[in-house]
Parts: sequence; structure tokens; C-alpha cells
Amino acid sequence: MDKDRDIVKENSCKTIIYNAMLKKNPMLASGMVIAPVIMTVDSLPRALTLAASFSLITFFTLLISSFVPKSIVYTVRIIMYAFIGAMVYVPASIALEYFIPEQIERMGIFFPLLIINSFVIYRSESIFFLESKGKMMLDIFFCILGYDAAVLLYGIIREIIGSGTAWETIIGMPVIFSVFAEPFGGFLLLGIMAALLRVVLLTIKRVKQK
Amino acid sequence: MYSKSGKTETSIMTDMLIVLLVLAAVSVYYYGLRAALVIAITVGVCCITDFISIKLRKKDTVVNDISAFITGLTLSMMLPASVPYYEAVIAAVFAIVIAKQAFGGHGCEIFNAAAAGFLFISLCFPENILTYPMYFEKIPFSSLVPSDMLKSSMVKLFITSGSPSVSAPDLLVGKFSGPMGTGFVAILLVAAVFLALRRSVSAIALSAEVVVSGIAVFLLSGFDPNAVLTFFAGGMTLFGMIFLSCEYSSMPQTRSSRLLYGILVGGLTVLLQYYSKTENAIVYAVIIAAPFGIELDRKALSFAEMLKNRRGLFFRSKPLKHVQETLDILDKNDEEK
Amino acid sequence: MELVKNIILTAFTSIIIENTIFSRALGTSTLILVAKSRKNLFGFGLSVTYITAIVSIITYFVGKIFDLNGDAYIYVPLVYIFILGSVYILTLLCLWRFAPPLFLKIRKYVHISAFNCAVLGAMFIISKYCVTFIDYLVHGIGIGLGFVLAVYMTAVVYDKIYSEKAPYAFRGYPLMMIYLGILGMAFWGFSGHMMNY
Repeated sequence: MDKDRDIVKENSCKTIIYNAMLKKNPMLASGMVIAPVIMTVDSLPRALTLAASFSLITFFTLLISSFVPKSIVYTVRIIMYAFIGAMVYVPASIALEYFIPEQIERMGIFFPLLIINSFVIYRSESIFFLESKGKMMLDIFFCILGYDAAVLLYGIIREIIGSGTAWETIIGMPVIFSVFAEPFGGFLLLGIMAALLRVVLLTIKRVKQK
Repeated sequence: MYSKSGKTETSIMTDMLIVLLVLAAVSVYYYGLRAALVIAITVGVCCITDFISIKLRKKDTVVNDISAFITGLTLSMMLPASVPYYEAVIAAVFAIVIAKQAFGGHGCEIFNAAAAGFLFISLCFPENILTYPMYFEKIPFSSLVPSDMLKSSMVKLFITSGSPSVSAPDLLVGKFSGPMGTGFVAILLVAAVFLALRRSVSAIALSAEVVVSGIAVFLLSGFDPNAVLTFFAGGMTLFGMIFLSCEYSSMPQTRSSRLLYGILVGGLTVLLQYYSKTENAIVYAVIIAAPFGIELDRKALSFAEMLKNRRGLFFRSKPLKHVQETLDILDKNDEEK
Repeated sequence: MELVKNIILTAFTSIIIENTIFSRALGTSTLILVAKSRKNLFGFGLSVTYITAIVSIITYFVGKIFDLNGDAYIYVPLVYIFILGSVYILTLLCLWRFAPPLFLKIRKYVHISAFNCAVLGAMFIISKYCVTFIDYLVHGIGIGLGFVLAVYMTAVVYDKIYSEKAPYAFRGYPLMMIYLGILGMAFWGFSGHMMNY
């Protein structure tokens, strides 16, 4: 964790964006908030739902949480973060249910579970709240954006190979791997995609060196 | 590394290869040339994928490494003779790339590659993988075999109805609907004895598995010997016990942990087949037991180390035989470090 | 007799068939953090099971008094976080007062064991599917134990997953996901899916 802190302090905007979107992508490199991804994202519409609800809840929770004074004991602080999450959930769920009621209902228990995701509980203390306010906003924004992009990509791939559809309309896929629509298939696909991201990062590094 | 008493890895694999080739020959006799084609495709894809992934990882290929060949043969024996060719290819690629090379290649895998590959396609395409053609029937060479030629397996009937439907002599020679090469109980029994005598599979683990699951099924089925035979012949139980669970790379090293591992696999198989009504229960059991095998080994080794430090106290005269064996492995590991 | 049979079946269901990780993926991010060290595994397991058990008992009584499934459902997370937070603080205070050495030992990982998706998810699942008090209690303990089982099975192979021998692209996190996926396929067998073929 100390290492992360040093890196954060020296970060320029460009590296923040690069880290948040690719190198330390919250979903594909650090493995954060993967339960709702594996359980609910099996098509593009559901990926969009997750991305929207996650962004809304996490951004405002982190923003309000950053005002919690550091002088409070850690034990109480962490409960306050969770409590703020639950508070933000109330207007967020009202708003989302107004616009996309069916999709939110299909998320089931994974929608309220977003309030104690690892962004809020673990990453806030170790990275986000150590930065200055402006930088923190930028970092949080791009981390959430990186997560959303990964979720959308995951949703597209999983929908095409898992159920042979795109935006819930059937396209003619020769082979459909129904395994990938199940939870364990979600794990497998996530692992394969994370490995592919590593390959991409290695290639970028090599090109840069040349 | 896996063997004891001077047996090299190559000789173990050669023994495996001989037995698997015999099974392959019998399955070609039973199911015709399409079976041979399926075997050739599976083995070929396994070897080619293995070669390519080793090259991609920039490692040196080992000339006498036939592990991919054996994985391919084991995998093809578990498929029906009517399997569409592309599904055999998918199984082979999954087994080699995901279950073997991603974990670090030969000797580092956690799960048996063939078991993982079979599990993947049997969950993906159950309609093609869990339906079987009859023996001595002419199967067309087209990729998709007409579905009226295919029946569900004998063991599924056994699970749902609870009583065996095939007579004992037919079971012994594999005359029932099932995978290509896993039903020939007579050959498998001879193979088990041969491999155990040659020390190519662990006799302790194998006998623990067979005894535990055999007794459990005997009691659960109301003392019906035919049900026990059906249990071992169908659902690739005996085949899986020999080639999937007792295979050299997924075995614990010490004797005591092999015994416990065998009991675990046998118990899980019966549990899965009788209470969860799962077809091919052994494949699931082998995968679930694999991490526990690793852990048992570690526990046994640390226990032996504890004994070693107190050897003067407990073993004044001579340490027990299997403890001595464990200690030898420990010393060897120390030297390697 | 019937009761004992029911309890065993419920426990089997919640520990293995509907395992928190393998069939619901709840708390996977926590698993990645915790599986690192085998040293604190026992303490972690104990505290997770303890918290899920206590919390499920309280959830039962709260559910009896207030109707949480009606229109008030958007406030349910607030209630649950309140329960969780008070259990967490009370436990820590008790430990601090009566067993200070244990408190110092447990302090490092107790927040991970209380505030994770597995525990909060357990509360949501229990209040949705359970009816009787025994159901609540057994499910609560079972979900905790199932989570610990999954963490244990991952911690066992942690050094293999992170070893130098695994190719760089897969080493670590990607391999852990694949490992959980393959185990999940095998655990799927317990649910007794019979294919219609």
C-alpha cells in the first residue's frame, strides 16, 4: 500500500488516466466489484444498467465520504462510509427506478450490494483520500470510467459468445458457449479477459521501448 | 519428481500410453472408423496446441514430453463416438490452453487437464456430449450425427431408476451406451492391476477409491452386486479413477495423503452420483478434490518435518516405513532448493 | 429426527450447493485480498462466521417487527448497515474491554470480515428466502462457512497461482479467476442438474 501512495503523489493527469483506464483497471487488473459483473452482466443492456448504477452510487458516496474527518477512529470511519453509501442509495434507486425500472429489478440483490463495494471500503482509504480534492475527483472519475468501459466490453463479449445475441436480438453465431452465461463461465471469461489485458499492456510497453 | 523407487516420468507415461492405446483400439473396434477419426483429431489438436502455446511462452520444447498426447487420448476416450468434430477441438484447446499451459505447463497444473476439458464441453454442449451411439453401429462421418441414432447413457437410466438395466457379462465387455473407451471393465481391471504393479498409478489411492465407493454403493443399493458393477462401468467411474484421479501429476506425494485423497475422491463420487444425481460424477469429484490433494501433501510433509526434528524422541530404533519415505521426499526437496 | 435432517440439508445447501463464491460470486474481491496469507485464515473464518450468524439472528427479529419487503425497501440497506455497524462496534468494544490481546490480534482483518459483500449479501439472501428462525440461523452460519471454504480452497493453491512458472499474462489475478471458474463448474455438479437428453 505504501508503494501505491508514493506513486499517487507523483502522478500527473496523464498517468492517472492511463492507470485508471488500462494499467490498473479496477475490474480487469485489480479485481474490484466483480460480484455484480459475474452475476448480472450477461448482456449489453444489463451491462449498461450496472455501469449506470455503479457510477451513480460510487461517485457520490466517495465524494461525500471524502469530507469525513480523518480524526475519527478508523473503526467508526468505515461504518460511516457504508452508511453514506446506504444514504446515497435512496435517491439513486428512486432516480434509476424512474428511468429503467425493469432492468433495476432484474439486478436483484446486487443493486443494493453496490453500496459497500471495494472502491468505498478499501480503495478510498489507501488511494483516493490521500490526494488533493481536484486530483481525487479526476482519479475517481476516470477509475469509474475505466470500470464502466470494462463492464461494457465484458457485457458485449459475454452476450455474443454466451447466448449468441447482440442487444438481445439473435445474430447468427455458429457456436454458442452456454457455459459463459453461467456464474462459473463469468469467472472464466473474466480471467481470460484479464490475461488478454496483460498481453495488450506488454505490447504497448514493447512498442514504446522501440 | 512424481515417482519413487527409481521410476522415471517417461516410463510412467509410457505405461499409461500402452493402456490407453489398447483402449483406443478396442473403441475403434466397437464404434468403427469415426471413433478413430475423433481420437486422431483430439490427440492432434492437443499436441499442436501444446506446441504452439509453449512456443508463445518462449520456452524450450521437450522432445520426449508426451503428456499432451496422453491428455488428448484420455480426453478422446471420454467423448462419445458421435461427437461433432469441432466440439472435440474445443475440448482439446480448453484442456491444453486454460487448464494446463495457463497454470505453467506440464508438472504445474492444479487440475487434471483432460477432466477440465471434458467438464467444460459437457456443460457447454450436453445435447451432443451426453448422448451416445450404440456399439457396432455404422456411424456416419458427418460432423453432426442424426439424433435418432443417439441415446442417453446407461448410467443415467441407472441414476433415475435406481436399478441396473444391463446384465453383468455385457457390463464387463462394455456392451451398453456410453463414452467411447470407458466402459470396458474387464480391460480396465487388467490395466489397473498392470499399472499398480508397475507402480505407474498409486495402488493405495486407487484401492482406497474403489473400496470406499464400492462399499458405499453396495450398501446404498441394497446389497446388489450388479449395481456396484454398473456404478463402476457407467459414468466412466473406473476409468476416471485410474486415469484422472490417480494420474501422476495430480497425485499427492506421500502415502498417507494418497490414502486420504483416495477416500475423499471415492466419497465425493458416491455423494455426487447418489444425492445430486450427477452423470459422470467422477470428473466433478476429481476437480473438487485436487486442491485438497495439494493441501494434504503439505500437511503430511510438515507433519513429517515435525517428526524429523523429534526423531530421536519418537523413533529410537527405526522410523516407520511410510514416514521414512516421506522424510526421503523431504530431504530431496531440500536438496532441490 | 426430521429437524436434524432438515438442518443438515439446509447446511449442505448453503455451504456447498449455493456456495457464496462458486455459485453467487459474492465477496470475490474480499477473497482476493484475504487468500494471500494462510496465517490469519482461521481467525478470519471464525470472525466471518460469527458475524453472519449474529447478523442473521438480528435480521430475523427485525424482519418480524418491521415489514422490510414492502414500500420501505429502499431504506433496507440503511437498516442493514446499521445492524452490521452496531454488531461490529459492540463486538470490538467487548473484545477491547475483556480480551485486549485478542483485540490487538484481530484488529488487522476484522473490518474486512465485517464489511464485505458476502456478509451484506447474506442478509439480503436470508431475508428473501428464509422463513423460520432455524432457517435463518443455519443459513447464516452456512453462508459464512461456505465463504471460508472458498477462501481456504484458494489460499491452498495461492503460491501455485502466483508462482514464477505460470506465464506472466496469467500469473496472479487472471489465473485465480480461471481457478474459481473451473472449481465453480465442478461445484455446479452438486446442484444435480439433470440434462434433458
